[in-house]
Amino acid sequence: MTVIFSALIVASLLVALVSRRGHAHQRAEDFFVASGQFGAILYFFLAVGETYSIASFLGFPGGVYAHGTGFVSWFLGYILLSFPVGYFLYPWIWRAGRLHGAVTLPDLFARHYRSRSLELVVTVASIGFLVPLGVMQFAGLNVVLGDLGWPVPRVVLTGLGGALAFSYIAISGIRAPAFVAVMKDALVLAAILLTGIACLSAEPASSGRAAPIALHALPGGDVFAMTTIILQCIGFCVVPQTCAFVFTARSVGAVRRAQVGMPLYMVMFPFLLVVALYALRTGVRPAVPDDVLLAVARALLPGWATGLVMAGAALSALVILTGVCLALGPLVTRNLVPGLDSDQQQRWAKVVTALYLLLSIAGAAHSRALMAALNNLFYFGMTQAFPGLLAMIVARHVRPGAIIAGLLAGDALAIGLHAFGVPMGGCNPGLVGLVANLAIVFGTGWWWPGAAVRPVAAFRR
Amino acid sequence: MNLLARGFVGLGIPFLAIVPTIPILSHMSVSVFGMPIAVVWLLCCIPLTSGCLAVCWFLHDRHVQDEAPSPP
Repeated sequence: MTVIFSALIVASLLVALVSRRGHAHQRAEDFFVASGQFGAILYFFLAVGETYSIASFLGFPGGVYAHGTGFVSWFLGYILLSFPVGYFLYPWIWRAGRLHGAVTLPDLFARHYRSRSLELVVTVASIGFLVPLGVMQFAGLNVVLGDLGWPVPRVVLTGLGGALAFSYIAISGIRAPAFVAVMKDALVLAAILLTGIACLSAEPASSGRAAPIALHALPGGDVFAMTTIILQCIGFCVVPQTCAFVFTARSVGAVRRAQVGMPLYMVMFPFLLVVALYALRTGVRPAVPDDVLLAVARALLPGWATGLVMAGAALSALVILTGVCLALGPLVTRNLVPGLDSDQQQRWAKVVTALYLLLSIAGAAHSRALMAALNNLFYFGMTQAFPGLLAMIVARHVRPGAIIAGLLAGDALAIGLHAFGVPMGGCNPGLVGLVANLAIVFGTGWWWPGAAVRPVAAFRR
Repeated sequence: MNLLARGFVGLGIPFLAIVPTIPILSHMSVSVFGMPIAVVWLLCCIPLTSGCLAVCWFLHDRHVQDEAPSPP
């Protein structure tokens, strides 16, 4: 198990080195978004690699194990619906990016509306959203590395994981996670299929003899689950790292073709469901619910295959970490501190990356509960960028001040309703904030129009 | 394929298949192969969504000349 795990992790470093060939000297745009040169296949692997984090592989079966089948509806529902939303929204984000030469989400707002204050507000919100994501990945990595049973303190192992993520970035920027994502996706699919098939083989007559799986209510009730799905499938498409990946695509066609295939990658979820149900039926007892996939793999698979499952899970965390770091770096070196040249942007982005990784390792060791709460808040907070983005695409007379007001009001309303537990008929507070935000942005554009700014849709030939 | 049909197939069908349908199915005690019907239906929505997007791509978007916009 240990040999296979270590060999695959080392192989990922070699894959990152291969990604550097022909791109040893990169400009900032190449380092952060590959200068928009990824075709449909590489874009597909980068996008799915960044979509399914270690939280998906460990958290999904862990959630079913701990909370039952109601969890499935929310988890799969919002991921699945984010693909149609992306199919229609991403081409406009890509066009806006090309129009304004953008590398980050705040670049779009800054250049379209020529407003430094709007750029700063979106930048700060984006950075705030990205902070808990790193902690979540290291928390998952902790589970995997702990299962290796090595006599080394956990913080040293996660530190090595952080060093590996930093190495990917230092080697070739966004190209490294894109190439490693191909390897990681192949590993993860193989690992999940192996474990799922092992469960089905170990319990061959389960579908005929075992009692039906109990029906569980949707988490938070029907209205809350559905409004959360709507909010998150939109939010999923406007988070900062997603926008950065869209900018790596070569064309609108590359983005759309990748979106068509992305739902099929979810074929792994029925197998993860089988794993969780196997654990529930047979009494496999993981130390924590998130460990259920690895516990079942250890119980049913030979050592080499368990090493493969662990390597797949670890690489899924590392690919996400590199993506988040590459989204965070330019937010600081382009938007928060403007005026740096191309080399300075890359150099300082690496410093920011190192600091972020260290803080995330410390966060994973000490304050997971706080970070989980922050993750929830920032998820519906970050979705508040959507109305401004929509206005950029279709509206002509929206003021930058209206977008700032909408964003702040939406965030304040969502967080306030959540913090004080105000009943909204079961509706997700983030969606209430989003509706208020939309009303402010488009209402002011109608009743108090600003100077005309040509929307992105009007630039189409 | 016109724009309205494209929007209905690409966005409307996947949303209708999940947002109103899953809560309704969640209240039914029907099982398929031992699984709650809501879960089975959700798993069926995976190829359905991909199929809807493929219809949009092959019947409309693939034929659209779509180059990067250029500033005036």
